[in-house]
Amino acid sequence: MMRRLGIAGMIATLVLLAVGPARAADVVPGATVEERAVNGAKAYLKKLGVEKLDLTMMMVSLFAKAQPKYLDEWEKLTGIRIKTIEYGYTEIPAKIMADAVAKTGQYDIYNHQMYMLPDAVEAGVVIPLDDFAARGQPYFDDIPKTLRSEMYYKGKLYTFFTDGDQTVLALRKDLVELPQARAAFKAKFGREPGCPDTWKQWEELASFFNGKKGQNFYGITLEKDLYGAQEYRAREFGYRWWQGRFSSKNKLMFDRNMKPLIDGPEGIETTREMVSLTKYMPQDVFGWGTPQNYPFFAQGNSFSISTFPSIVGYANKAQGTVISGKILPCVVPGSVVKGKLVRRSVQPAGTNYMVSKYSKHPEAAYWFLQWFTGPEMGNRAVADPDGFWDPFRPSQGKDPKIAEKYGSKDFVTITLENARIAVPMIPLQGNREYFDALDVNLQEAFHGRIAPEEAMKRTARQWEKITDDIGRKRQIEAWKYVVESGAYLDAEGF
Amino acid sequence: MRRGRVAAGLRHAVLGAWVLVVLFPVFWMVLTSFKDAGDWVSWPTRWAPFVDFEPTLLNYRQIFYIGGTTQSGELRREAAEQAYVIWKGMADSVVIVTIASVASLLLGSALAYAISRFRTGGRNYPYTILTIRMLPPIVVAIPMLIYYTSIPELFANLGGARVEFFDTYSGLILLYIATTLPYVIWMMLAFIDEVPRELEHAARLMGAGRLSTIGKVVFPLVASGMTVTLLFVFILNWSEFLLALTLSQPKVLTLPVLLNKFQSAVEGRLYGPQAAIGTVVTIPVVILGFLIQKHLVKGFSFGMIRR
Amino acid sequence: MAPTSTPKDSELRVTLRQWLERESVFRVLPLLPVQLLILSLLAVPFLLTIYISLLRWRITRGFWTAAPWGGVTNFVEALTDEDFLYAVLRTFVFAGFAVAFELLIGFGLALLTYREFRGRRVYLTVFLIPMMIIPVVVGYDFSMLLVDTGPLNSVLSVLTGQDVRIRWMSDYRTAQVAVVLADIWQWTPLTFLIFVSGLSALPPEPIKAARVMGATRGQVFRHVQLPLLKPVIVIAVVIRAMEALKIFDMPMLLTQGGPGNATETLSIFLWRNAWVFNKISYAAAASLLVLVLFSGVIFLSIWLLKRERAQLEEVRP
Repeated sequence: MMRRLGIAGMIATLVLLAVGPARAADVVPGATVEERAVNGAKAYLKKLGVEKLDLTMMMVSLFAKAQPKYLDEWEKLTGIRIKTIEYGYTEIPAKIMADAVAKTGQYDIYNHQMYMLPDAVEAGVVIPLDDFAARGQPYFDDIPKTLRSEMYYKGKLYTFFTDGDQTVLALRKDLVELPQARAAFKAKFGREPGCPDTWKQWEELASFFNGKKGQNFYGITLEKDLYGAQEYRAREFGYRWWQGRFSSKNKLMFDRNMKPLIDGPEGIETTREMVSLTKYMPQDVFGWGTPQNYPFFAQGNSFSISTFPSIVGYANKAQGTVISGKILPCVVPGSVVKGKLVRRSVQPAGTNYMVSKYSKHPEAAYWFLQWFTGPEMGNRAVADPDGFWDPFRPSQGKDPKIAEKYGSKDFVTITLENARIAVPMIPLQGNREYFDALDVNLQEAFHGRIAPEEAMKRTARQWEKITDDIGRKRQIEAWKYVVESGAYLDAEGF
Repeated sequence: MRRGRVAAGLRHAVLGAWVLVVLFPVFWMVLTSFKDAGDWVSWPTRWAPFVDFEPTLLNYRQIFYIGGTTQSGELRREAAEQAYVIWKGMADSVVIVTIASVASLLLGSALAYAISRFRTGGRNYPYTILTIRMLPPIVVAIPMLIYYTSIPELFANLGGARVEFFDTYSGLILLYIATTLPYVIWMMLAFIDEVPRELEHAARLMGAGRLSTIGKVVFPLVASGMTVTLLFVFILNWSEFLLALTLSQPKVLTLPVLLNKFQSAVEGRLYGPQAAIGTVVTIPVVILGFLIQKHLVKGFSFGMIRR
Repeated sequence: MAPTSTPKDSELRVTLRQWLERESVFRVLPLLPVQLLILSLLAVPFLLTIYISLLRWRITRGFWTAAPWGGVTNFVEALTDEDFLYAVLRTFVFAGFAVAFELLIGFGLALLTYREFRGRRVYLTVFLIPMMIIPVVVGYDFSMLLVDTGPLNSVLSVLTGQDVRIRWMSDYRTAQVAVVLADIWQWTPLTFLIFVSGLSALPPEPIKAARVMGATRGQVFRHVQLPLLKPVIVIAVVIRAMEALKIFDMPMLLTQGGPGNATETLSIFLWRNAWVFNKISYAAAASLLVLVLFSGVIFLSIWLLKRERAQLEEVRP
C-alpha cells in the first residue's frame, strides 16, 4: 500500500501512525530525534537482555579521523560499540557488491555515497528502514526535496545522510573588484561583473578575466598566467558536472518510457557549453580531479572554479594559498528556460549510511543512523573541522560553528541555496553503467574528437541498450518514483 | 688499449644513463616520503630538501603510528591523520607471502623432480599447468568469493571442524600456493633437468637411498635455482592485489590492499604516506635481492643454455 | 602391525622411509598435493565461472543461483561488442610494445654487463630494483612523476630549454605511452636478468674458437651467441607476454582507463563490467574468451619453446 502512496503519502502515514492512538505505544519516547534514537537503542539492548553490543561499519577512509569520536559518544550513550573497517571510497562499491554475493554478515552499516543506493537495494544487500522510522520518528522535512528523494528507492526509505556536498561556483573577489576591470567589463557586456546568472555569463566572465604572465591587467601586473575558469573535465568527474548543468535546462534525462532525452537540443547545448568553456581552462584540466584543481585555484592561477563547497575553506587556509580572503562564492549559474531562470546544482557525491541485510542487529544499526544524522548531531558533524560533511539543512545557516568552519555566514547561506537546487545523479539501478557511457562520450567531445551532437546521440543509444539489458519495465517503475518524488523539481519531459 | 678505454667509457655512459632511468622514480618516491601534503605535487617542482621544502617525518610517523596521532584540526591535511598502521599489513603480508612462497617452492620442486625423472603427469603437464596463469583473475575472483564463502557450509555438511577460507590466512596462503605453482614447476623443471642423471646413478650404485641422493647430490646443484625461484614467486605474491582485495579484509590485510586506503577528498591519493610505505616495503626486498644476486645471475637462464 | 607391540619411533621412521624409497611412491606422491590443491581450490571456481557465463546474472538481480539461463548469449554479445574488441586490440598493442622494448633494452643492457668488470655488481643491483617494488606503489609513484606539473616534465623542460608540459595522463596518445612506459620501467629488470643469466651461462669454447678463426665480434654474436640464446629469449617472451596481457595496475592507477577509453585494457574492461556494472555473467563470458585467446597466443610461444628444447635435447650427449 505504501508503495502506491508515494513519499508524501508515506510521510502522512507516518504522522498518522505517530499520533494514531492505536500505534502511539510503538513510538519510542523522547523529545528529539537523537533522544528517541538513544532510547530506542537502549530499549533494544534491554529486549536482548544485554548491556553491550558490537557492530561493524564499512567506512569511507576519508572519515577515519572525524567519525570515531561520534562512535565513542554513541557507545557511551547506549553501550553499542561500532567498529570501523576503512576502505578507500573507490573500493567500497565493489566491497558492498561482494558482500551481496558473499553474505558474510561482517558489516552492519555501509557508508558510501548516495548514488550507490539503487544498486545496493537491487542487490538485496540493504534493508528498508520504514518500520524503524515509524517508531523512531526521524526528522527530515527540512531537507531539500531533491536530496530527500535520494533517501528513498521505489518509495521505501533506505538510507540516511548528513552531507550536502553539492557543487558551488567560486570567483576571485579581488579581480572582480578591480575598478578598471569593472568599468571595462561593463562597457563590453553591459553589466557589472560578479556572480553569473547563466552558464553563458560565466563564460563571458572567463573570457574577460584571463591573461598572460607579466601582462598589465587593468592596473595590476599578473605574476603568472591567469586562466578564466576551472571545471571538472577528467574521466570519472566530468559527467557529474554535466548532470547539474543539463538539469538547469529543466529537462529530465529520461521520459516516462525511459527513452533518453539527452540527445535533444538541451543535452547538445549543455555539452557544447562545457566544451566551449574548456578553452579558458588550463589544458591539464583533462587529467585533474579535486587534488589538482584545488591547489591550482588556491595558488592564484585561475579566476573561477566550479567544485565542492570545501574549496572555500581550502583556498582560505591551505598551505601555499595566495588568495586567502579573496574568494567570492556564488550560487551555481543556470539557464533561461521559457523566460525563467533555472539554476541547478548537482550532488556529485554525498556521504550516506545504509543498514546491511545480513546484519544480526539491524535495529541497533538503525538507531545509530537516526542519531548521527539527526538535526542536532548532523549539525555538529557538519561543523566539525575534521570532517567534510557539508551543510544542507536550512537550520545549519544559523549555526555559528558551521559559519566559522566555512569562513562566513554568507557562504553557508549560498551553499544552502545550492543544496536546495541540487539534483541527484541518476538514482537508478545500473547508474554507474549509464554514467560510464556518458563519461566516455563526453570525454571524446571535450577532447574535440567528436561533435557534441554525436556524443549525445551515442550516449542515448548506449543508454537505451543498458535500459533494455537491465529490464525496461523495472527501470520505468523506478524512474516514475524518482520523478514523482521531486528529485528533479519541476523538470519537464515525463 | 685506448680503444678499450673508450669502449669502457661508453659502456659506463650507457649503463649510467639506465641507472638514472631506474633510480629517478625511486628517488622521487623516497623524496616524496619526506614531504608534507603541499609539496607532493607542486609547480615549480621541489627537488632539494631544506632548500625547496622542509622535510618532515610526518608520513613515517603516521604509518608507524609513532607518538600517537600528530597535530590535528587543520584542513591542510584533513584526512591525513588516518591511523592505518603499517604493522598489521606488514605482518600479514610477511606471514602469508613467506609461507605460501616456501610451500609452493617445496611442493613444486618435488613435482618438478618427479616430472623430470619419471615424466609424472605426462609430457605436457608442465605446459598445461601454465594455463592457470592465463586467466585474468578479475572475474574469477567472484566465483572464488562464492566458493570461499560457501566452504564453511560445505564442510559443516561433511561433519568436519569449521573450515574457513574467506578472510583467513589459510585461504590466501593456499590460493597463493596454487597460483604460483605453475611458475615453480616450470622453473624448477629446467634446473633439475640440468642435473646429470649419471651423478644420481653413481650415488645409488654406491648404496645411497633415493632421499639421500636427492639431499646430497641433487639439492646442492639446484640450490641456486631454488633461490631464484623463491625470489620470483615471492615477488609475485608480495605484489598480488586483486585476489587479496576480494578475498580478505577486515581480518586479514596485506600491504598492496592497505596502500589503497590512503585517500583524501582534497589531496586525493595521499602520496606521502604511500611513498613512505613504498620505501619501507621496498628496502627489505632490495636487500634480499642484493644478498642473493650471485644466484640470481646464475639461475635465471632456466637451464636453457647447454653448458 | 600387531597391536600388542608398540612400534618404536625409529622403527616407524624406517618403515616410512622404506615406503618413500619405492619408485611407485616417488613417482606419484609429489603429484598428489599439487593436484589436490589445484582441483579443490581452482577447479571449482573455474567451473563456476563457466556456469555463470551461461547465465544472465547481474549482482543487482538477486543471487546467482536464481539467475535466468542465457546460453551463449553473453559470448555472442561479447564478440559483437565494440568495446570488448577494441580492448582486445589495445591490450595486444600495449603488450606488444611493452614486451618488445623490455626485450630490447633488457638484452642490450645484458650484453653490456654479463662479463665481469669493475662496478658490475653495483649496476646489477640497481637494475633489479624496479621489479621488486609493489606494482601498486609503482603506479602511485608514476602518477606523481607524470603529473602535468610533475618532475618528469620539469626535467624535460630543463633538458630541452623549453617549457615542456606534456599531458602524460590526460591526452589520448601520451596516456597510452605513459602506461607502456611504466610497464617497461617495472619489468625490464626481469628480461635483463634472464638475459644476463643466459649470456653468462654461454659456453666459452665456441666463442673462443670462432674468434681464433678470425670472426669479428658482430659475427660471433650473430652466428654463435644468438642461436645459443634463442631458448632463453623465448622464455622471456612467454613469461612477460603472459603477465603483460593481464596488465591492470598501471592503467588503473594512472588513468583509470581514460581519457575516453584510450587505456582501457582487457583487464580494466573486465573489471568495469564485473565490479562497476555488476554484469558478472557477461564479464565471465568475456574472460573465458580472453582465456582462449591468451592461451592460443601463449601455447604458440610454448610450442616454439618446446621445439627449442627438443633441439637442445638432441644435441645433448
